[in-house]
Amino acid sequence: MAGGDANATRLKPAKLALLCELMPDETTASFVSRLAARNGVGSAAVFCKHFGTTFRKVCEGDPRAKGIIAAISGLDPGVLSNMAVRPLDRLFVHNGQVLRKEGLSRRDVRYCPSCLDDDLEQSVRADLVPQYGRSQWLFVILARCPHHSEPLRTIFNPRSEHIEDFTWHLRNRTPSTRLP
Amino acid sequence: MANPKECSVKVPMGSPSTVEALRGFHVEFPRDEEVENALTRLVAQMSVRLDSAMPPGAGNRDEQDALLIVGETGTGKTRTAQRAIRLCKKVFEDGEKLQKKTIFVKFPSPFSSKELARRVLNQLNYSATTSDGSTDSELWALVVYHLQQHDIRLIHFDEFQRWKTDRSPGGRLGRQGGVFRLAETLNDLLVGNVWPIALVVTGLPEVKAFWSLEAMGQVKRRTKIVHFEQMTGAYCGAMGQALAAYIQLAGLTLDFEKTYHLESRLIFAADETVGIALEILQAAVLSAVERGGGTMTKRDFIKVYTDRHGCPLAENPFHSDQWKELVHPDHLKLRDLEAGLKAPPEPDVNGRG
Repeated sequence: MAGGDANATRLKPAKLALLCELMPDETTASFVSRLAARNGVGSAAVFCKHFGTTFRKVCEGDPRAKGIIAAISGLDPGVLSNMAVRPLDRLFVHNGQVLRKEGLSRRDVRYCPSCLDDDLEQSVRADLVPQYGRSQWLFVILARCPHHSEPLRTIFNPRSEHIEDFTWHLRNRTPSTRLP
Repeated sequence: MANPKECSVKVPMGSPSTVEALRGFHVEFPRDEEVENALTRLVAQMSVRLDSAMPPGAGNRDEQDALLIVGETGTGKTRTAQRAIRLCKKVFEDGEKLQKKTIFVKFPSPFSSKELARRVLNQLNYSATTSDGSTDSELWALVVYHLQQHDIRLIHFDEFQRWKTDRSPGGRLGRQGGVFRLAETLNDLLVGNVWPIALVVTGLPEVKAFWSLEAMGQVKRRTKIVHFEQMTGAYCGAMGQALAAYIQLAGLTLDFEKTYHLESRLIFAADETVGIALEILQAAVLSAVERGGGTMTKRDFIKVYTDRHGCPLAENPFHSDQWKELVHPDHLKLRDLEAGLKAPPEPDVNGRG
């Protein structure tokens, strides 16, 4: 019985009751990171394991992982695939754009504090995890926030822990400012 | 007692809805009131604040209480508990959102604390697997978080005796064993700082042994125990009212004399178990419906009993005039089994024994 339940869960997990809204310019990794926090799980890696996949596979747009996240979030798998940063040979594809590896900051987390303040202000409840990672913050070439014109902050991640787990880094790491 | 108002709607004969109507009809027994009173006290505790100077709400809830209902199989524990919970609908349902504030979870078999946590999470639409390497405490912390997020006030754990099927490598009763962890979990659910929650627990009488464990001291102190006894002659009235309600639901009339003592025969036939007595009653009503003619006779009860036990007419309590002298077939089987176990082995054809 229990085994049967587990198998059924692996095949088609039910939609979660505690959800987040995918923002228009949000990466799939940031979305899953927030979804994990919304559901009370400490990291996106553990959250993905709960549903029989890995965060790495989700970030890279693996079809099965994408299907699982689509099922539990109720989102269109195509949208999740589009907003993922998927490896393609020695390049990456994101939102229809082909990108070079060196042009992306995937290990370190970059953000604009004013944008995150705006996220909090616009949300009715903090436990809805409103602060999200914008895809443009991944681009190394972007040093300042296009909306607030202030330098992006960086949370360095030298040990490659929790790569792309945006909410985990905001909660557990101290940022520093990288000057333009 | 059975409420005649509740059975005013007649259903088509022989249809699946007849079966549903019979099974859905509640027959009230004296013990129901005891359960309802206990649950009312439990509900009252839900609104007690931990700090009376602070407003009520999450983080300001006092320790909660538990209600333990034990009894043999078929005594109607689960059904009675669920009905009592439904009677507190106003407390347990948010009128606007229609969001339930109670959940019902059957204990897994074989039992494991992780699997139980997973079942609770499943009820809250979080279908986690248990093979992800998470520890017991991590999973239960997640359970508490989700209970709070969903504003769940009460969990009904059913089939609690399955804790005996625990296969923890640390040994069931050791300090690291599954039983000790289960006791700690129940304690944390009742008196936890984050989101204390009320518990209704149903199970076989052996569950009481669990409640007497040293590790359960805190939980025991906060538990009201109700024991569902086997049926006695005092249940004849309720059984008679159940029969009257059932035949009205099915559009039948009774066709046997008062001296037949149907209720007493029924209690014997059901081996003094409420659930089985109601099953026999319902099956006999359906038998009468299928037979046609609009009446219910002893033949319907005789048939149902024969179908259940396959015994000769002389041993059928609905047929025999000496039914009080009969031994219930389940006890006969047990007696035969015990005799077989005690008997010395028969010698084989070569005389070796």
